Amino acid sequence: MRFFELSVALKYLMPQRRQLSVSIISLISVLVISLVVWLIVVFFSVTHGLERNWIQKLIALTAPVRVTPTKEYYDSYYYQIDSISAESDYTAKTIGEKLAAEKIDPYDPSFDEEIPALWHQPDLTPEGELKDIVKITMNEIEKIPGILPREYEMTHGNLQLRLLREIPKSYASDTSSFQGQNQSFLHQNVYFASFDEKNDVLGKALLGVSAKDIRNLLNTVSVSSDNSRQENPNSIVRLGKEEASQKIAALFEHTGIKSLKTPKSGWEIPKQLFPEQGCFDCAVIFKGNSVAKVVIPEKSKDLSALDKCLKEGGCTSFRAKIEKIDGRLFLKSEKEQIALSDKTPIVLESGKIIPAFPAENSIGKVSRAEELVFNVNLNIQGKALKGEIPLSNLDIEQVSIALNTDAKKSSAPLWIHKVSEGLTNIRKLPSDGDMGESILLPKAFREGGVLIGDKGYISYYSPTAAALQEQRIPVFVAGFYDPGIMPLGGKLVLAGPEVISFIRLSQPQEESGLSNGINIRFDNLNRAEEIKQKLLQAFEKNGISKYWKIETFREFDFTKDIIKQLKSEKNLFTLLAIVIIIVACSNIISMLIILVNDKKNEIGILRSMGASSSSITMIFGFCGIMMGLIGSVIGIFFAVITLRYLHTIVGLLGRLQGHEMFNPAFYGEILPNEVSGNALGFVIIITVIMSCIAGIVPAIKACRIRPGDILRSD
Amino acid sequence: MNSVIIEAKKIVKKFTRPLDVEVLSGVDLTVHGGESVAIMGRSGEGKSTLLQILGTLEESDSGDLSIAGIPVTPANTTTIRRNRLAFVFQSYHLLEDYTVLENVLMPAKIARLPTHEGSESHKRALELLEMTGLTHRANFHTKLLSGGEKQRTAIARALCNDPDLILADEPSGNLDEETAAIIHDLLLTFAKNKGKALILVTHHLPLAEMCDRKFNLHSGLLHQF
Repeated sequence: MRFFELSVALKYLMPQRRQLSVSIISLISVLVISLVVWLIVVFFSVTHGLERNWIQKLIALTAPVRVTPTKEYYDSYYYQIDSISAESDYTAKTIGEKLAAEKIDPYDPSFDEEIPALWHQPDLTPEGELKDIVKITMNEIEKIPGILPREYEMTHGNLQLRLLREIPKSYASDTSSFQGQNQSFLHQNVYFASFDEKNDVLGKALLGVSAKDIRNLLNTVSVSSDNSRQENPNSIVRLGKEEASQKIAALFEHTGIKSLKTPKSGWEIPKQLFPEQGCFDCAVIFKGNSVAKVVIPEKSKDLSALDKCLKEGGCTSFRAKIEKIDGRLFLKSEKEQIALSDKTPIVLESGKIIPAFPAENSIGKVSRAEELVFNVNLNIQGKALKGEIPLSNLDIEQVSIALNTDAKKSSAPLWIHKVSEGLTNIRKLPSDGDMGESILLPKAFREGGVLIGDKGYISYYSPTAAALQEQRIPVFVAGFYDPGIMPLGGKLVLAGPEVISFIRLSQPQEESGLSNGINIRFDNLNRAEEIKQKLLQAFEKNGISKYWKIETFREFDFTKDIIKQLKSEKNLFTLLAIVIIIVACSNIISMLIILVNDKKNEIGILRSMGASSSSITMIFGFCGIMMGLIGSVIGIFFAVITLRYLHTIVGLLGRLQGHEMFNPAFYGEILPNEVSGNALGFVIIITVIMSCIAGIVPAIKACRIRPGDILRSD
Repeated sequence: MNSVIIEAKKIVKKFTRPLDVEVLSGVDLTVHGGESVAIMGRSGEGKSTLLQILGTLEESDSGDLSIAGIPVTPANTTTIRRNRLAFVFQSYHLLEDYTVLENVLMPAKIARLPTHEGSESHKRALELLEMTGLTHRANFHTKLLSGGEKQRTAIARALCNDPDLILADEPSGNLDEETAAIIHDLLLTFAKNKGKALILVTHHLPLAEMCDRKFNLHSGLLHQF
């Protein structure tokens, strides 16, 4: 080894029986450091991932950079002139409309009313023409490569949804007027933002379509939307048979049902499923002298548990066998055999998943979801029950969902999906003539029981000269998204830009930066500040900087506090991490001081052979650094393993604790578990610096040892 | 006559604690290459202190010291120790975690010379081990050696960097007569044959007799006899 200091340091670090105390202390020091490193790497990686996910969700709904009009813009001649021009229908234009407008100045002095005396002064170009602020802006934005500018609008209104839910059969008789359905209403004031179909980031925030959603859609497509727009509709109006069956068939173009689930409370097995001569163990429940119910357990061995359960429930039951002979079901006991009445229910205990697929002749013919017929193959007590059964009273367990679609299909799915357009994929909100416009809701609504397919309306108020009128747009739910930590998130509904424009136009123009602007999207978030500066310069050059406010995602009103909070929490933990590392590394000091005392003699010998005091300092400095490094490497190794199995570990801890470790509402469904490069760099650098500092004190002590004192003859 | 290896003039050393004692009160000593010098004296007279001052391990209060013609200053003691001097101690002072060969090679390592197999230093170390009769112990840890073997290792180590001056402090103090004789023979033969200077501190008169000159340290001064 070229550096004798390093070879000596390595020798000192090797555990030796002669220096048990030093070895134990150094082992403890290394363990403490690795524990601290492990903790910091895991914590930083998870928080770093969480922050990234949060910011990604935030940006999915907004954009990394936003350009919004200022008060000067709304006060400008350019903006206000539309409100007194017949050409513009006496209505101020949105940014999008300004961009599409043919004339910069729609005012016609010969036709329109005279401009008031104290009217805003037009901002003219050097050539004396009115500056087309929006077009100049868009031009400048588009000059920056790799970005996608999109106009956005935001408004507010009321959302009412009608939630129709099936009632289990046993309770259905009480609500016959609703045909076995229960209805409730959800009414909420919400914000509406325009859905940008080219926003690829949104995909990360979208939640999947579930089996429950499909069950709901099957139910709601056959219900007419006509009275869904009423305040409190008191009946369910069904579509015509043909139309309803077409709608159900259209739904099956984009979804497939793979399996069904029997209700937990028990499922009445259709009698035609029983195979001829098939013999099943069962428990017979009597009511008086007649058979009230026959219960079949899924497996014969469960029969005794069933008996016990029935006994506890106060039922008189007998064990018997049920068998189908010549199309009739018979109950057989040791002594007798009785025919079973067609009305006596035969119930299958426990929720069982049944593989099923829709019968061919069913789709396109039935007009109600309950009437859909499925081919099933059910295994009970080792025997197969085959046949066709209706969907009624069964839940859908597993579905296949098409999230991409192509133009070949006659219809589009009723949920948010991808469509290929040229070389790029765009996300499309579905639209349906009967159901209305589609909306995307934040996940809080799903948690509140809303499902895809629920219908309702958006209501908003439009002031006219005479009155304030309420207007309604029919809508249906086409998907859910996770808004992350955005404060408005729980209330921000995404709808097509046309819908938002429609609502905004009817309302007085708000001079709030939130309501209209340009979203600038790009992939690399680190470019945000650079793009902002470029735009500022370009706007300054064109003399339009006063009309626009440019903000990066770190500066949005509704995000800056959270981002600042995240940052200060991160800083706080960084500080804490440094303190913990200092404490862990201070162990090294005590270990090295002991080592120096132990090695005094050797230090003297090395000095007598010409080792300089700096060499001696380096030996102990190396010892400190190496302990820090070894600790870091062990800690990082275990951190990588922990992160790899994070979900299992968190699940296990959750089970030990009795409830979930991390609330999915804050942390997302899956905790991020990628090792953060920043965390690794931070830990390694800090540990090496700290252990080096820790090594300095003993090293100085070592180099001050006078060889003469040590080597004096005894 | 060989050149002067070490020249000490008016070396004075006082200890202030616990009492003011002047251990050396102006010692003069000049030793030439190939010459061996024995310093005798009663315990506590300051023989070891003198040896350490001559070996730059300790500073004198006043006086001049030059080794191989280079005046010793606090700045160049390390370089002088590395290139010009070597010590042999009564209690061997070997590095216990290392093998015999590694111990012998340590001065070369400190001097940043290549020590890998086949290198000059490595060859030299093997020669020295052969000369001291330790070839069969080359890969033994020093703690497994006998006293004589340990001192022979120490001598081999002292010769590794080919120093001009060897300072030996009671080299046979812990050894039996027979082994001591071997050690003395080794040291004196080496000094004579290779033209090195040897300063020995000893109580052992027969060993002192074998040296070219012998001094008695008494009342802080060297008296040749």
